[in-house]
Amino acid sequence: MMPLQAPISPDWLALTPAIVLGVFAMVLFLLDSIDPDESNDGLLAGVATVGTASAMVVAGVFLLSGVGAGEGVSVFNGQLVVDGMALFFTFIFTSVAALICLASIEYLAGTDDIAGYYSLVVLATTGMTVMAAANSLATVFVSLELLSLPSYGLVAYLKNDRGSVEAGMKYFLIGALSSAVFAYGISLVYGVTGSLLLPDIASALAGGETLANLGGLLGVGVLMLVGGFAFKTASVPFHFWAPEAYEGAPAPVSAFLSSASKAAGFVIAFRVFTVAFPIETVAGTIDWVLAFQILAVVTMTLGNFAAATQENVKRMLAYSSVGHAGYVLIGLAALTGQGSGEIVLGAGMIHLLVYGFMNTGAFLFVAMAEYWEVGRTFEDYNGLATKAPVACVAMTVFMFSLAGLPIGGGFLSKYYLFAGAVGAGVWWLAGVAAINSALSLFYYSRVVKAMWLEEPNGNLGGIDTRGYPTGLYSAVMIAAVATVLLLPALGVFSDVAFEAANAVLRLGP
Amino acid sequence: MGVAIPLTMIAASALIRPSVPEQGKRAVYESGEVPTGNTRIRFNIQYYMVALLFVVFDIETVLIFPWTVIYRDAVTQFGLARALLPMLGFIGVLVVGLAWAWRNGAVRWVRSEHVPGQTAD
Repeated sequence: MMPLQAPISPDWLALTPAIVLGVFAMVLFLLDSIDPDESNDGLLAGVATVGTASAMVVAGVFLLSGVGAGEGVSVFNGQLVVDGMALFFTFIFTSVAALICLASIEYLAGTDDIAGYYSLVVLATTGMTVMAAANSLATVFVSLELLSLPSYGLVAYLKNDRGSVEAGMKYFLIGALSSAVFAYGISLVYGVTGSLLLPDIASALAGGETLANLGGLLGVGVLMLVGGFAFKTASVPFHFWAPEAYEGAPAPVSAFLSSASKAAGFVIAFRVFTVAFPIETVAGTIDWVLAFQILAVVTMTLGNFAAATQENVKRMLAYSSVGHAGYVLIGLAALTGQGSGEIVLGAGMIHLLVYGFMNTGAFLFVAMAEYWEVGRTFEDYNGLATKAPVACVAMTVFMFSLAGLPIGGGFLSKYYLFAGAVGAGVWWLAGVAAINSALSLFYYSRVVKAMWLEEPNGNLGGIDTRGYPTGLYSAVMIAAVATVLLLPALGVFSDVAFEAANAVLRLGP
Repeated sequence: MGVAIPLTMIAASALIRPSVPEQGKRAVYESGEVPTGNTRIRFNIQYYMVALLFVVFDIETVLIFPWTVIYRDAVTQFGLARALLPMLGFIGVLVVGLAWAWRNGAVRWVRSEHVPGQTAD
């Protein structure tokens, strides 16, 4: 699998984004070890932000300079592979993590163990970055756990808040269950194919002999893997934790989990299924495309209908993130072999990129509302625009972009997804997604209506007394500008994404 | 069939054995010790902290043992830097973690005032 001319030498330097993140996590630990009782919040937040942002810059430079072009750089005997998809997703994770670190300064003021918070965020991002490059089921599992364990701690970070602790508990229990299911799935796949490396699994299955003898066992294993991915991406049937965890967790952590952690679940799903189980080989035994079609339809419908009935804005966003997982599942569900798979898979990646900015921004706006203590329901947001017009413009951009109106990048990425689905011959999938999108406009516009058209309830005093939180406010603005700019500038990323998707799809024999 | 055999055996022995209830049979089995108190006591949180810190050394040992066995061969084959530096890096990460835990009071043995009748020895 080694390319003849390695584009970077020595080859482990291709992992620089992950190494940078790991080093910065260590620096945060050391800073906290020097004086655990006194913490300099600004310094810690600055170190975490600089660390994630520099990893983002490295990933961006690698992506544009073609380090991961083609089959990518294979590291540690093929356990990790740094290709276009790995770098693309690393860019998503690190940009979301940088926004989160920037936004957490004011939100966390007054809580203890702030160094712990930032080092957990950076460690979780390291885990995601390794996940994006994982090319064997062993590294997939280890990096998945490196993401999961800090996430449990982050959700329960507000130790004295009942909601936060309860959310952490539920997240941990469901996470432990799905990790167990996932590990069992890995063991079954290993038992059938005799390898953990994704390309080797594909070549073990290629003859058809293994499939004929042990197809049933493999089918059960693959279904269990689907369960593990469904947990990480908050898709049906392992989506129950999402509304609870997002509602109880500190709002920046909800943003982190619903954008970056979800994308991390998708990157391993994309890689494992397209590389290890090429659909043309395994279609007769376990038709995972059909499984993902069912999951996509159920997930987006359930997510959107549940979101439409919520009164609490954070819970509405949580269910909407379940719905968006359903849209992105089209990226796997439309790999029918008809049309061009790279458009479908690439569209999933692009949607996750845009979603990373618009959804993070929306959750950070909720964090700002919590900072101002305006309350949690739609009614509490009434008349917010009279006091904070600029922030409300940003939130309006996020809401309409999430709904798919041509005001932000969300319009184009959804368009790619639906067009890809139609091109792959699953027009009904695109139809269901379009209907769901139309429904989502209803509940997203409720937020906009409350902010701009309703009269204030008299709960907006916090804006005057507490003022604008600088870090949080600038993070929301950066996310809004990025969301809008992604509409005209999506071409840059879409070329990269289609190229990366093409490389991944061709890797399978 | 596999389920039926043990079930039959349990049912048969339940039918034919004599019933002799006595206190010794109902008591909790503590490997011959006389049980004291009930099971609903709260352990000091420190036990968990020490157990977690033990895991650090545990994993370290598991990975260092095979490394020491092949160390000489590895040095001759790949040179000192490639054989030694990754392990030093690994131990360095563990040391940072241990130092952080130490500084944050994970090894400071506190007595709990809330749990009556419990000593820390």
